[in-house]
Amino acid sequence: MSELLEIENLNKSFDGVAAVKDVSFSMSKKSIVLITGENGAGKTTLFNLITGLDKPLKGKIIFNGNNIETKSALQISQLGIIRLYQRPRLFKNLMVWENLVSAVHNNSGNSFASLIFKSKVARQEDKMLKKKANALLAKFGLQDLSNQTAGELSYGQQKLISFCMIAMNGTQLALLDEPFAGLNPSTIEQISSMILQMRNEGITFLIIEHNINKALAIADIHIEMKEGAIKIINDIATT
Amino acid sequence: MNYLLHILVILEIYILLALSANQKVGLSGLLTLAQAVFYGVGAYATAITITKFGFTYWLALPSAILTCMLSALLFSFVAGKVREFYFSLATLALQIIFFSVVYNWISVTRGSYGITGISNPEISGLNINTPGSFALFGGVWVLVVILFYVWFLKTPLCRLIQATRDDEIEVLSLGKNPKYYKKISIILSSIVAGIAGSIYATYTTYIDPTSFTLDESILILSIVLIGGAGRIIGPITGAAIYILLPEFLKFLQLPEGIAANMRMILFGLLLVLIVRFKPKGIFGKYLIQ
Repeated sequence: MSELLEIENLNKSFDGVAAVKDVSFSMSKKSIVLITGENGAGKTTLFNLITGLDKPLKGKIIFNGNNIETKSALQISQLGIIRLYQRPRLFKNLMVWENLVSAVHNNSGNSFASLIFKSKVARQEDKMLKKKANALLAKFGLQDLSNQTAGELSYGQQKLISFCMIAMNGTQLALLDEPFAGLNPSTIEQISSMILQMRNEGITFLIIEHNINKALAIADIHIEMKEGAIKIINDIATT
Repeated sequence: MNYLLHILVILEIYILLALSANQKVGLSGLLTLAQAVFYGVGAYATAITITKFGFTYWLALPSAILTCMLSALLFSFVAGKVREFYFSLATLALQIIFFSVVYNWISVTRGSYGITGISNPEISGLNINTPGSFALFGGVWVLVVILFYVWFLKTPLCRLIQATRDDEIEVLSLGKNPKYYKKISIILSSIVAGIAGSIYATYTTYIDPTSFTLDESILILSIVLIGGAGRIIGPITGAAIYILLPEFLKFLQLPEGIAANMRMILFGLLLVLIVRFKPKGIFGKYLIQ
């Protein structure tokens, strides 16, 4: 399998305290990598570095063969790296299908110019995307939520919708920050199955999770971090 | 009859102002304290191009819209980078700067003396100079702006503007630039406010800085708060309540001086009641925070 993300000797410190120390690992396409570690192990800082919210002091982040460590958060997300936070971040005043359609990267209706000059194309594309969003919701058994306002959904439902947004976005790499936190066992199962299904469709996952047993059940590689450094890399697929 | 038509013209101007504020406050979640600035820019640009350059209304209007767009673009470069409370502070600063400029730049704005002799619009040689013709003229503009919003609210761009209002970081995470959507919203809002200013200047034929103060900005914001943000009907309702309230007070046969003050007292009371019992406003879709 070809490498989608390569991290080489990544270092970051805050006020002289090392948050990430010489971290190196790589991820192949369509893999699921689990990162675990105690609080302060450097997991979230690593996510911030990959998504461009923080800049490393040293080291390289290579995505699809391109160095991205100096790029802005917007440029990085436009390359196809999406991050899901622990608390689902939906557009709470929009309907569920509108959330999904808004997640689509690069659709015609995104700019004012295309709205004015390609109004018909934008309208047709929007209709098609709405159909696609509803089909996606149906695929995961969430079709009844389509016309509900996102802010009125339960926490678990919001998490499920945020996963549908990943699928709509056309992302290549999804960074999940504690996807199972605060969920009941059946929703955890549902999300696990969504992750596996999306992986089969081409999305690569990097996951931070404290519910290790549940996450190990779907992961290919397990990385354990301690005090900013990688302690163990365990290739689950081959063991 | 002329008085009722005059009230209608003023109502139309406030509907446009409330719709323009709704673009920022309701659709973008940008709590603005400077809506009167773009109203003023539209009015002054119209007045100056007509009185100093001899433009007709139909040349002055595009100039006013262009001036509003440019000033909004300039403002959005600064304000587009800040959020929530800091955005409101930036708008407050803009309001203070604008008032100081129009009050003190006497060679251009004539300061506190104001600009007089602003000619009325003409359509095919027909001078729009009566309250009736102006009510019709303003009504057409209101209709155009409402139809624009009926269309715009259904567009993917408007959806993304609202998505940016709900969660800027998520928009960024999805590979879209939230600053762009804020900029578009600020510019659209300023165009509508500029049109209102342009109508106001040519209707009254005289403008001075006192029509474009912080009080006016707060009033426009209050109209949206009362009517409700995020929908077309909300700002229209808010404007109707504000403008028609003193007319209803006339049925109580209060003395003129008291009736005028009663309007602000009742409007303030209504605002307090709305905030307490119906925080989204009468027809609001979105809670202003």
